Amino acid sequence: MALPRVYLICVNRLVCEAVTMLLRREGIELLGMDTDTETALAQVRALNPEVVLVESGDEDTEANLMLALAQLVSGKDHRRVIRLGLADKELYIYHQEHRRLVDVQDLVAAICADDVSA
Amino acid sequence: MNKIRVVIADDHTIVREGVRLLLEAQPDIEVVGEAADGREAIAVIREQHPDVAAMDIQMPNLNGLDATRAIKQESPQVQILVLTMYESDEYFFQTLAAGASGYVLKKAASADLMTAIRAVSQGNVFLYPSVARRLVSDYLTRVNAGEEQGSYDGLTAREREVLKLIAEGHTNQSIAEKLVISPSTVQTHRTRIMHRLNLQTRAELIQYAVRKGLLDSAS
Repeated sequence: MALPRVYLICVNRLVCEAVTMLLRREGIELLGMDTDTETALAQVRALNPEVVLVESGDEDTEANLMLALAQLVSGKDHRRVIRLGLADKELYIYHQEHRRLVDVQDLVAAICADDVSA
Repeated sequence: MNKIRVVIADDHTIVREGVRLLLEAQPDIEVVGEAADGREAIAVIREQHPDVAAMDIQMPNLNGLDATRAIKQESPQVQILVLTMYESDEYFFQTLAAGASGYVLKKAASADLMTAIRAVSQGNVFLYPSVARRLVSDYLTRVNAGEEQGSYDGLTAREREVLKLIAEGHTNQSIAEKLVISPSTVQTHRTRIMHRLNLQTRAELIQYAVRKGLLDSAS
């Protein structure tokens, strides 16, 4: 089973770099990352990753980004958006699930879920 | 070469583990412990005696600000580097007053974090540029207005005592108990101090106290 390819969008650069290190350690392919949402959206459209991982400090301020991402994955069964909430330590898996984040393996499991793999 | 021994205190596992990987990729830095809250940070630091503690502010049980105060009191040689997503003046000046040697935002690049760790480990101060800019700007505004010295000289000895205690984070009740006066008298002093120094918020008051050197590094 091929691991899904991930694109990472982060508000905080240090978190972006930290998550990149973790994904690499877990053998997950990272297609790209950006802290600028416009650039990131264009990259997501171009690269068509199976998973878009969004680090966000504030759900409200990220509403437009999440809406745009939801439209991108809408109707595509094997695509998903995961929001990593730093403030509340939650993983929001758009639209289907909501899981409690305890450790790195929770994040890896969310990315590598069977129904995501192409 | 002696490596810089670092403890990471952050309640977010993903951030903590990721930052650990980033730091461990540096040849001169060694992560000797991790903590998920302020109490755990104090315990780990007590056990490991690190050179630097990278400390998040918002953590359960005991926040990073109170943990910093406690650590500086117990182990003043440990340099505290605040690592936070919050850029507010309130947090910034309170952490400096608590004894932190540096302030880095999570929006910074990892290279900034490495620079900060190396700087504070040598006894220097590191402030993330946007934060330092605000500090300098505020200082220059007040100096140019010529209000600093004259205003402070206008405070009574008791008002200066109250000012210092407020800046150290004490509540009106706590100050009242320390100075053996009523809380309402403390409030009167507080109002008068703010008025005389032309300060509007507690954050501005803490800023003022830091600039005036009214706070001990361990306070």
